[in-house]
Amino acid sequence: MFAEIGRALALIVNRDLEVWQITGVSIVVSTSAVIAAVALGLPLTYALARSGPLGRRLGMWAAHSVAALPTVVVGLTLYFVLSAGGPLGWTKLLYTRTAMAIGQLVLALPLLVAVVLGALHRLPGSASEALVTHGVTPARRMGWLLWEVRSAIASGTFLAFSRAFTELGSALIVGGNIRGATRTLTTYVALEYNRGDDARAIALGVILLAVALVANALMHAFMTEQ
Amino acid sequence: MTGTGTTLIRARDLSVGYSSSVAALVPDFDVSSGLVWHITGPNGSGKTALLKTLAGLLQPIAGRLERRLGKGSGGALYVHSVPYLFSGSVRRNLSLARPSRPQVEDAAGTFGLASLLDRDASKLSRGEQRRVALARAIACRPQLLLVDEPEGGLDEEALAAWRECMIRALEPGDTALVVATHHPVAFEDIPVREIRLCPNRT
Repeated sequence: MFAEIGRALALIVNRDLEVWQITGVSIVVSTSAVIAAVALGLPLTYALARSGPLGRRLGMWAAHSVAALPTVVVGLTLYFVLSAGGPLGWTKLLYTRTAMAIGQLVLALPLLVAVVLGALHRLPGSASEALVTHGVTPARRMGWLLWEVRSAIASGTFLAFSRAFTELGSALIVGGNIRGATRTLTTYVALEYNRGDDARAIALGVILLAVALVANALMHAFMTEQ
Repeated sequence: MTGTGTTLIRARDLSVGYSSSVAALVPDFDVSSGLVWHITGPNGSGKTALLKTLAGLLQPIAGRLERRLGKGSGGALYVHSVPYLFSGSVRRNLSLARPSRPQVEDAAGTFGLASLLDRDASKLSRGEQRRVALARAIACRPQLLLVDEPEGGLDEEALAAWRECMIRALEPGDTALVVATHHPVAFEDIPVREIRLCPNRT
């Protein structure tokens, strides 16, 4: 079995250009989803943190609830929204990388929001008051306070990336595992497993794990530097 | 109880506190430039609430409060009893309100921080951190400086140094200083007034 996996890994690393293309698609789709999650999530989280105890509690509850959604539920919901008869059917986004990125955004965003909202809540009130009393403009205040919780942002971003990169349900349903287009490492692993090529499925899983570990190492390097 | 310089604050029948819960009924007073005011009273008597109300961080619960101050950091500026220093260097902290470089260096010099400008603010002693917070405030040249319990965590020597720094900072005479304290101290020849607060038992 181990020899088989070894052979499969060697084959993948040396000759299998398709696997590298699929790895590329996985990274591009998940990175796009995470960039969108950060761009939307940081202002949203800051607004929730500033909205008083009720808004903060509701925000945390909503983030935890969405974070707990099964990936297939997100995938199915998005499928019905994007399918020809759905409200956004006209966008023709179903079975595209964009649809996959949207699905991953829904899965990744709440993790980032929950981690950063918790960190902003733990900052002493004197941090925000110091900015107000020194006449710092609201936009710059957001920058100063988010910089104070940058470790949490790094940690939340990594969690968001891990969730996006390793999910299968949503990618399979709204992406469709189309060869050369929407096939990602997770959907490819599922396909090879279904075909009965266990060694190849495990070898692909090892690549998936390697990318996740590299992302983890990068986050830790950033947090150590801070 | 009226000062001699420009009147910056006029308080009449003022009640202060947090979210409609009254912490203190404040005696009428005016704050004028070039004066030092001490706000005294036991713990829970509303000293911090009064300072934050004067700074505009809290709204008065009742009464009249006229604030004849500029907007932003050049108006009223509040320094916490345990000030928050932002991550990064002392210089980054002093630049919070974007004062000019000479203003930053002047303030650092006044509070004996010139050699610490590039040090990590979180690694300083508590006394040094307090001086950074005061220098950060003075760099903005506020009309009204509100300082909450400066003696907390400082030994006699540090407190004397703090007082000297404040006297130097107040020398131009256009800043009024209001200090909440358990230990009122003299500020050389700067006139000092006192407002004594009692805990609100109603």
